[in-house]
Amino acid sequence: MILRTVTRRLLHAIPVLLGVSVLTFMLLNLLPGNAALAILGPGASPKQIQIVDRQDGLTQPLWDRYWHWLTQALQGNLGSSLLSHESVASLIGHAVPVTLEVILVAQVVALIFAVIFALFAVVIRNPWVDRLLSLVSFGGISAPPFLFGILLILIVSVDLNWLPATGWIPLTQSFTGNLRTVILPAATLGVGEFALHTRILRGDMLEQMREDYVITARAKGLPRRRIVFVHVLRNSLFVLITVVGVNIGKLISGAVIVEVLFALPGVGNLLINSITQRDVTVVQGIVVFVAVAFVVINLGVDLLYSALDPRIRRATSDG
Amino acid sequence: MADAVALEGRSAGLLRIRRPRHLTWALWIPGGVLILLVGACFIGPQIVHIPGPNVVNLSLPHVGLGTPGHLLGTDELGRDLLSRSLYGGQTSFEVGLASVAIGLAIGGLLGLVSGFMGGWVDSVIMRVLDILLAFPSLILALTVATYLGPSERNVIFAIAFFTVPSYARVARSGTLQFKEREFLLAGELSGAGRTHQIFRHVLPNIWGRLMTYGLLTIGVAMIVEASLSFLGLGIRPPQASWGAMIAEGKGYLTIAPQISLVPGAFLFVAITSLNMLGDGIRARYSGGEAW
Repeated sequence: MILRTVTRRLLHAIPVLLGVSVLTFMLLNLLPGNAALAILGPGASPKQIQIVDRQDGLTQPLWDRYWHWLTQALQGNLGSSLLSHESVASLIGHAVPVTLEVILVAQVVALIFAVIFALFAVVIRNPWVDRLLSLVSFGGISAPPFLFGILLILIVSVDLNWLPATGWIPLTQSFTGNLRTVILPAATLGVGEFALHTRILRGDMLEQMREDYVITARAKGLPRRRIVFVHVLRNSLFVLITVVGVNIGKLISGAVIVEVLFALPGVGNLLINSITQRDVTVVQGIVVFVAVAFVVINLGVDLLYSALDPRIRRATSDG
Repeated sequence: MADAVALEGRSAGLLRIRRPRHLTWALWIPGGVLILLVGACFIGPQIVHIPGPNVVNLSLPHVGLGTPGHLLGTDELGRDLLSRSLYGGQTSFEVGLASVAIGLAIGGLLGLVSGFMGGWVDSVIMRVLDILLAFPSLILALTVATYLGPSERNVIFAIAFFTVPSYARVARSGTLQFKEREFLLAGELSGAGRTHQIFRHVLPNIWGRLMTYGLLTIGVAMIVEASLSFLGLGIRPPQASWGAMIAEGKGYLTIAPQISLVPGAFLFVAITSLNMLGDGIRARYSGGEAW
């Protein structure tokens, strides 16, 4: 049953991904700026531009170039940078661990704090605490990531001088060094997630508290705290999985901004640098890579969800 | 506990009776702040005498808040931050409104046609839009903005482009709800054409829903504009934009944090009030507490 869902979703994803590659390729290859001009500098003669264009295969028809690029990409070869001539796949490969670490740390820490704060609000049942938490979380949802990041840099790095404002030390080099460089970016990226998760979790738990099973549990004599921690929390965590799934796109977008703000050598920073330098093959490789990753992660979240909740499993396999 | 449940039920009933007054506040506070802010951005520079947003004064670089003549200080080139923030606000609101209007018009139309026609038209439109949904929003906006080049008009198009699928989905699901209703059948039997049916009978019914959704997404569009400009791929300097100003101040955080913080505060207030207004409207129509 679950296998059928997987197959159906995978078949659905193929035309979408093909469309993604066509759209990206067309957009970037019809760019007004000329890559050869970017390589040679503004003083280049038309003759030089022509030579570079021919070397990089830029004189062939668009469809031929797309076909060539697609067949190569399917074999894992995304071409090489027009500027540094490094392989795009290896450029992305070096950058991915950084982005992945920031996103994962942000998401996990945001979830842990969200559960703690939501539980606190539901157990305490104080209208003032509720109001304050609600307003604070609303502000957290509304602030764009770079704004909170600037505040963090200002307070933690500039005033207190506790943590570095920019730079990255990989985990393989030093654990504490890595920790010092990941805290601020992850906090910047995670605060919006934390706010959103707290809000949704609290709302859902309060709704669950009115369900019949809570009354039954209460009538059985279970203490309120146990009902909240064991029964209600477990049911409400389902909602969080959906929210995490819906928010992955926002998290990836946020990572781009955070990497630029903290000068991290991740995929987002690579993308922005390549855009400014008009390094089309790198931009193309990254955009398609990110879109594919996004589709695959979404698929994973959907499947996880249907694996955890039998009702959804039944509904999707019927339809 | 049964008491508590009953109490909660009762207080929910009380809330329902009190809702108009309670929610009026939830709408008026953010609404009022927004009106003030929009007024300050668009009318303020006309009635209050402040320096122009691009007037460079190299003898007064990064002075702090409260300096006479420069209420909110100046940036690294001695440009007035209040003035730049107000003009930057014009850019922000213009981009937010225009991109939502364009996205809503195109997406709404596609959704209406898709839902009303059904069949292969529906499949083709929705599959194509699925492609746009496969990109994380900022990545798609970045790619389109790169393709079009940096300018206010192009930022509007780039943002409108990635919002089309979500408006189309809202319009389509609304249309599907009304498709089987008697008044449309009656129209069809009396020989009304498809265009007439779509625009005269379906559209008015989903209009409110589309507008509410549009209002909710203005804040999102403004954040994307600020993000694009922050990354240097949106509004091109010297035109003022909150995102670009925050990015400019990044290099001066140690000596003049106000260069980033002043436009940042404007952006935060604008987005928060838009979100609060949206949440107030949501609470008004679908119940529950606001904010």
